Amino acid sequence: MSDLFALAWTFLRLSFLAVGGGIGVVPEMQRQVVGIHGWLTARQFVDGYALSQITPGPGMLVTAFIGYRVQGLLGASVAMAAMFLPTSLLTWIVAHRWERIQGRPWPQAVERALAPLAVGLMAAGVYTVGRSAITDIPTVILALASVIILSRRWLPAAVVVLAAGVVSWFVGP
Amino acid sequence: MRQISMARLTRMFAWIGFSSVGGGRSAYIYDMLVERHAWLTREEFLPGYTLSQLLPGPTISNLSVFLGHGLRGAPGALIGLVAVLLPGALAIVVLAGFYFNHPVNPHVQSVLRGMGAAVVGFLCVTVGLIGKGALRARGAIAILGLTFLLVGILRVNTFLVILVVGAASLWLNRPSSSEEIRETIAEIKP
Repeated sequence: MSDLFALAWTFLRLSFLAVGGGIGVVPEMQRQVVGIHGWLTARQFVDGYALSQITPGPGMLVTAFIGYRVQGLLGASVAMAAMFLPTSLLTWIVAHRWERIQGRPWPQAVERALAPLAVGLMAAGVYTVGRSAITDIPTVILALASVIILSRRWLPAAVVVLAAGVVSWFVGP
Repeated sequence: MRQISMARLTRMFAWIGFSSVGGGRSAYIYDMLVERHAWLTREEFLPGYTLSQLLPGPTISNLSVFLGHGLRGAPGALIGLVAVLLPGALAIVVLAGFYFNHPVNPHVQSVLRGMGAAVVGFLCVTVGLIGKGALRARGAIAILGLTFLLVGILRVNTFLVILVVGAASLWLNRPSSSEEIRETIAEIKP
């Protein structure tokens, strides 16, 4: 029981630290989960994070992996609820307010002003991911192939990403 | 945003939850909702995206709540969240059960490498498409470039950058006084 509370409290705090996306809190999560609580070994944490990257949905579903280790299905549910529900509720409140004031001059100015900022953030995200993901010639080729295929809309994104995973599996490390 | 039936909204977010593999998940939401199905415009997508980053919590769940709410109110927000989480959650629990009972090294590293590379390509295409909708603001290119420089290259705290650069961009794009006067008149005479 105390483990469930610790799980909930740990992921609740982490979720509120995750500003600008979940990836930023992964080092702190590892410190909490491996170092402080000893729920997983470092190896298990890395494997769990890798699994959460291949499976669909948010990368932060790694919380379900950790929760499962601690207390089975119940642990997974508690960990996920703590990670996703309170912050979603906050977003819902903001979305609700936002909708009511949207058409007025200032909110419209906010929309205009935030658009280039959002694209800058996305571009920064691509750069950060790219720096760790594009490391050698095969990854360069896969990235370029994906740009060509996706900009011409030949295949859906998920198919391209999975196919690249399969190709890389055969090419080996 | 278009009026979408609850069933279609559920199917859409569940499909995104099921198909968004390999990182960069907000790009999947954008790709499906804006480019492929035109449920909302680029201009409608962008404020939701920035607010989802600015608010605490994982971006994809915040974005699903924000867009679900815009499309279908509170039930839409709830369904958007649950549908986007559930497929991946089930997959991860099944894998976790397997992993902890059969302690094998999942040889996922090379698969991950390939998927990561393709995701970078996907994100490049997406940013290019979204960028077209974002450049109407005053000083847009400078704001975009500055944000990229600070967050991507200099690794300044995202929250701080949103506050400071956001304030500068808002000042550049503040409503003209005539807009405000019209608003005031509209409020006096309902």
